[in-house]
Amino acid sequence: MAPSVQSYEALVLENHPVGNYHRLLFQDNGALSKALPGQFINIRVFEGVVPLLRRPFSIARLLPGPKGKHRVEVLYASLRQGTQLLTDKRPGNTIGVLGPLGHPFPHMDKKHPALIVSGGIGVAPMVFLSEYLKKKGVPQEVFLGARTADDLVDLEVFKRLKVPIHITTDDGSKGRHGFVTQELEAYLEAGKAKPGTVIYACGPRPMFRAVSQVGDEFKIPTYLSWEEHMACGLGICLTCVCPVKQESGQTKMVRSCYEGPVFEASTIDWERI
Amino acid sequence: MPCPSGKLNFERESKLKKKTQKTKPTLDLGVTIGKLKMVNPVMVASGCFGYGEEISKFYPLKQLGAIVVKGTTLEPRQGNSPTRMAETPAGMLNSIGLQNVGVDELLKTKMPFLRKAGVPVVVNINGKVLEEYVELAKRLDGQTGIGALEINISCPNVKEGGIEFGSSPEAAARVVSAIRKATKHTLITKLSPNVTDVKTIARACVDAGSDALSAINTVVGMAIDAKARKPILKSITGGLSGPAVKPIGLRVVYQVRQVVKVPIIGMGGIVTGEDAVEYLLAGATAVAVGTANYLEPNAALKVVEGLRKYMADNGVRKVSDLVGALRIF
Repeated sequence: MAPSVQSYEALVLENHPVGNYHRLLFQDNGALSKALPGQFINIRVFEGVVPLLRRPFSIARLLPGPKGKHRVEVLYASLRQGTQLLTDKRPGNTIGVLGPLGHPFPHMDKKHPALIVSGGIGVAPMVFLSEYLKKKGVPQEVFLGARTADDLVDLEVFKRLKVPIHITTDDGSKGRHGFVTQELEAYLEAGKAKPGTVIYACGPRPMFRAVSQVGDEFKIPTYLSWEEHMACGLGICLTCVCPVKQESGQTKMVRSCYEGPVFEASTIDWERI
Repeated sequence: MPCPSGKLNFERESKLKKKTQKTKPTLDLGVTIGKLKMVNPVMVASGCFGYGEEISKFYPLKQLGAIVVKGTTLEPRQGNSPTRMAETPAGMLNSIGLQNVGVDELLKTKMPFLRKAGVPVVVNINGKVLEEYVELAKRLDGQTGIGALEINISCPNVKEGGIEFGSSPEAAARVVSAIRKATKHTLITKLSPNVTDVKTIARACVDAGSDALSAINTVVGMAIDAKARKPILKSITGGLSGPAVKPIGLRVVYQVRQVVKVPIIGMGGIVTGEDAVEYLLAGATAVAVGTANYLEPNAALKVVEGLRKYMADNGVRKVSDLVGALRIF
């Protein structure tokens, strides 16, 4: 965690459904100006104690705003009480923002062409990553997986970036019928990956396991934007740990919020999960 | 320094006048528990503040009464497998399993930082067996910067953990008296609410040489994912904390106050200054902020501010005047 982490009240600018998910846009106070893809924020939706905890969200996009202060896009699924309350926020309301938290994706340079893989709302950090890599001229290939067509959000952003996009849906309502990891595997089997290629992935646990296996099979370093039940986001509660194998052979419980949230798939001790 | 200009003199006088008018009697928030001297009664609870490094980026730690560091064992521990946390109404369950750096690392890297931060430290100690507690107490004896040891005989999240010592008065007395012989540090014993009769255990700890008590540790609980038909925590059960447990914490502090004279550190669900006041009224000499630290980095400072405000608004000059000042009808 950089010393620049701030806790502040932010003004909601937009908040509306997009397909089966939601898009929130809020005004940053400058704290997130230097945030990078992979970093996240912890949002306090409600001042009271039910729900008690903040909710962690990836930074989906930083859009230019007044006086050099960005407007920040968050993509989220309305699942339980916390995120349901978030959907009630209207422009002019405020939310408590804590961030930027965690470390960005590694590499993000021309020596490392990127295969971006997302499942469902796991697309959130990938929008930021894709835009960032495009700006830096890093070759990229985007694989978007979803249950159904309405789960595909920010597709227009990827299209505007003119990056190669592969779409799969579980029900075949858009793109290829099947899992995103099958599409990724087919791409790699065709020998299309350039030297130095890395995989960046975010999605549900089963997808993480599948993409890790693919990365392993094709000897491609795979970086997962990990998700775990989290209380503070500050590094003090030790709830959000990921079991990471050390060079010594020992497994260490490493904080997703502080040392993460990005972990290299081959280092994760899947037996401890 | 004499001022050559009458105008300025006038301004100065009026400023002085204003200052005198505004001056209120200073509030005395200082608290002493054995050798632990604190600038105010607000501490941060073990396991809810790490070793202070992360939060020190938000405010100077010496604004706190004391920091109780993460539960410490002889050897480093990696703790339980995830999932370790489940949010529940007005609270959360955790099952960390005493992940900590171990006593050697604590002394080597964490204590120098905390000494420099100028905040008193309370080390929460844990053992699987009595000998481990004693060894920990010996290693920590004579170390500067440590204001007290907190004996954790009530961790609900480790299989072989201290809870066995915390559930019977005899076992609790045995561990406290063994530690008493091993160290000159002030001893605080942390009580579990997960017992039938907390008063007997409290009394046994004090009789065995505990200088103070802290209450409460977390309340054993469970959360279930109905859709998956699975417990949310990998360890199935965990410790409940947060505002949901405040009524239990207040009850335990109140009950224990009836049977012991030593200072009690009250904790469990403190978020506001008024929550802290409630604990003091119930009989606590000091309080500790735990889960609230997860909501706001400066949560403990807000409790200090809230306490000051309560004192100012209610004409309480000394914080000790609130201790046990509950009016029973």
